Amino acid sequence: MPRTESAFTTIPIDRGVTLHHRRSDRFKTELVRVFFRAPLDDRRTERHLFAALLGRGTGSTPTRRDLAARMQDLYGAGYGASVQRLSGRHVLGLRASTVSGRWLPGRPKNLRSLLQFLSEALQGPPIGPDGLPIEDVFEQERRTLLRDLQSRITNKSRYAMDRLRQEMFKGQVFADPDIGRAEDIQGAERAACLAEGMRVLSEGEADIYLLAPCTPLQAEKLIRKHLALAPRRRERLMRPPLAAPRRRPRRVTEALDIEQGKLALGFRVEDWEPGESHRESLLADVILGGGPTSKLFRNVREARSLCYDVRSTLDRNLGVWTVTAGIKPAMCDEALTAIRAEIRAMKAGHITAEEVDTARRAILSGLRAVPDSQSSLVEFFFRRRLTKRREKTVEAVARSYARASVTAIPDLMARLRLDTVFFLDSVGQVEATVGA
Amino acid sequence: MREQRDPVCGERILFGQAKCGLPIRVVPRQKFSRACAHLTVDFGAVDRALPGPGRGRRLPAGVAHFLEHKMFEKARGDLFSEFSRLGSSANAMTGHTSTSYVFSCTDSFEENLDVLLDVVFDAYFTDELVQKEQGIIAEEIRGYDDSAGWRAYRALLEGMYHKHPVRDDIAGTERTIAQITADQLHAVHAAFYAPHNAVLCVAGNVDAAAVLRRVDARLGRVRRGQAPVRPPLPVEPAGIRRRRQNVRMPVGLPIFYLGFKGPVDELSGAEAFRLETATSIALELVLGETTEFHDQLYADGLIGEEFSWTTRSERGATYAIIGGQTPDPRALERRVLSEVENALDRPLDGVALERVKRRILGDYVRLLDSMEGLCGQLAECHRAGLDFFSLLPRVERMSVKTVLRQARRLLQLGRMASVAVLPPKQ
Repeated sequence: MPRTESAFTTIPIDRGVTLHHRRSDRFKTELVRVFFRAPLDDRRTERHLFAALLGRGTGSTPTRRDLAARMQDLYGAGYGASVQRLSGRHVLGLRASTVSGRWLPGRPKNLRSLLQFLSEALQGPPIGPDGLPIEDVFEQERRTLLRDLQSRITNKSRYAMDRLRQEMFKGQVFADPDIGRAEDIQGAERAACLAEGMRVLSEGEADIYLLAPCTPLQAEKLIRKHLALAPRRRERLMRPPLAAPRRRPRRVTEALDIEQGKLALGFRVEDWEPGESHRESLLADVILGGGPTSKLFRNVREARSLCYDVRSTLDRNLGVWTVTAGIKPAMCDEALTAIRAEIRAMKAGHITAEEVDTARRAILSGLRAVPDSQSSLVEFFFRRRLTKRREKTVEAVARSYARASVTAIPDLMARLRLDTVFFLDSVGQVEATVGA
Repeated sequence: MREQRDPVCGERILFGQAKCGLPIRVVPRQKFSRACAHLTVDFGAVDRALPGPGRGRRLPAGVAHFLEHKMFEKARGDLFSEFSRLGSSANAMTGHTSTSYVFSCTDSFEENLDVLLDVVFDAYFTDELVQKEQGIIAEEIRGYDDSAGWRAYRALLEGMYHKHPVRDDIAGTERTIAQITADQLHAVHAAFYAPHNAVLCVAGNVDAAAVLRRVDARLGRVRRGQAPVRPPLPVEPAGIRRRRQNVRMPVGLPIFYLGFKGPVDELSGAEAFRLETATSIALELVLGETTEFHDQLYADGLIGEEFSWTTRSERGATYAIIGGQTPDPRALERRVLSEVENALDRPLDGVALERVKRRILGDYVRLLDSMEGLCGQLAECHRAGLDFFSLLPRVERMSVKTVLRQARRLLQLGRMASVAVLPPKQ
């Protein structure tokens, strides 16, 4: 199959404002994403509430109903605003996409309509007579955020991961869900949310991604006309400090009326520098628990029938490695032993050539599929931009990953320290240390 | 292969049949890096009997799903690993009426296709492998039992249906899967996993002629297997079984589903499409985000972003489900029922209908960029005996009257059941 290059053309619009354009006639849709960066600080809840208000409407489409009708008129266009924690910072993002007018009767100029809409959205949410977000709307979104917090327990796997994180980072910013705690949401005020959101929109370093079948020059003209953002300072990233890993691992068991136990193991990588040994850590993660040929899947699920689902995930920003499994409650200790045995095997360098080859193929295949999705392209390159990675095309990234060294993996695994074991069970709550 | 072009964007779809009888659909998209293939067998969880006299030889609940799990293991080893070694990702899904085996890759498409054909058409089952899988599937069932949304859906089907096997869990229960044997799996495979009871749909960076050649080379040039004679399903009464149910389990917020039981006879593909689509459009016009009613429910805190509905027609089980998370299931039920009842008594909004049709046109164009979506839709159309290109014109022809008439057929208050998933009593 031919390989398709996937570069974005980078066009500086103003200080701190960059347009990334990709001309492609592969897709029948056009996509615009705008990202604003902000430090990871205690104004997270205000930002989430502001994003929710942005998602509710604009000056000319002030209600959910108006907004939905406008999107339907644009042939089912998609629009949303959200806040994400990415590579040690907050990112407020707006996303809008529509079907390209060239495929539709009368060839409507959908992209222009969408940019016009986004330009309104960037003016901020609908404002009431008191100059603040409309009170009813604000209270509805506050309630929605509180419900998101309240309903986390409904998804047991997600709840186990949330609890693991809480236990691992007690007292630190990473302990709580990014939307904040219930008291933060209950205490948020309209004025503070508006001020904080508008500050991020006007001061946060901005990246605009436009995927449409137009030339870079046309793209620049469109953006300057519709999304002209004022100059702003470039980001100076300040990562929140991270407490040192726990010296003795802890085991927390929580009771819940459930059928299947959820086991979550949290490891810290000692002396982790954000972004370090990116290629090798990804390779190690895929070998350990990244799919049906991973060590965990083959040896814990298939060989021992201990679980249906088992996987590992590495947070390369925090240097936190997690392993999760859904298991029969009585099998907790056996599963724990089996999982740790696989990690010990990797520390000892017991990695076969076939495991490495299969993991490499999985990574490369995933990378080569990135250009087939507009959203994946944007997210992939924006994340790389945030971590200052040099490669400009998917193929260049793939070549770099193909060089990942397997000999570095045992050293990496030797730096793993088991920090916390969280087990969601139905047998009461205990806290104890477990052997390292 | 016969070529047709889609009337909106001009994309090509090629239709053909392998010598062994396997129908093939290919959408070549050379600008994409990926290609994906779906091999869908017309055998699902509601098929609970082997061909034979009367109602056939009974099969335990969960047999289709169990078979899906076991199809990846062969005498030469685990074929999941072969997909991985070829750098592709593979999966399989069992539904009520079909089972799909899929892969997507950016390289070595033809080698991957060989593996997929082996997965589906080669049978290798041993009692030892069956026994090993029982533990894994039991764990999968327990995992689903902790999913509040799945429990609500299951309870609703149990409440609506007396005898139709759609009321049983797709994966079965620990008790029923313990009854499954290697011999049973062999018999099911021989009866239903024949090429002409399946369809291969491929989309992406592929050459259609090469796909056909590869299938012929792998499966041979002789027609394989007999057309399965599907035993009849149990006769299902028109009415529901239980009007209201509560399920208690740990949830942060209650989940509420309202179900309407539709016709219990097996509908033709065209009839099912009309009934499902028209009812779904009607619900969008009555409960959708562009309605004042939806705005009011959200403002009153009775629904969240995930409030939605779906309509399905699955071999004699046609139903609509409405619901989502809510702090007050009873209040939501009252409000939704009252709105649906009133709306079906008066003409629907023609302007709003045209707006929904515009959204559906947009969805159709978007679907042409989704390799997985296209494969799934083409397989559905094949199984339903529908021409993929006829779907959009069918929707465009729907008038306000048609939408209302069809919706009244499915959304009958006398055939309605509801389920609330509530936190455990303190």
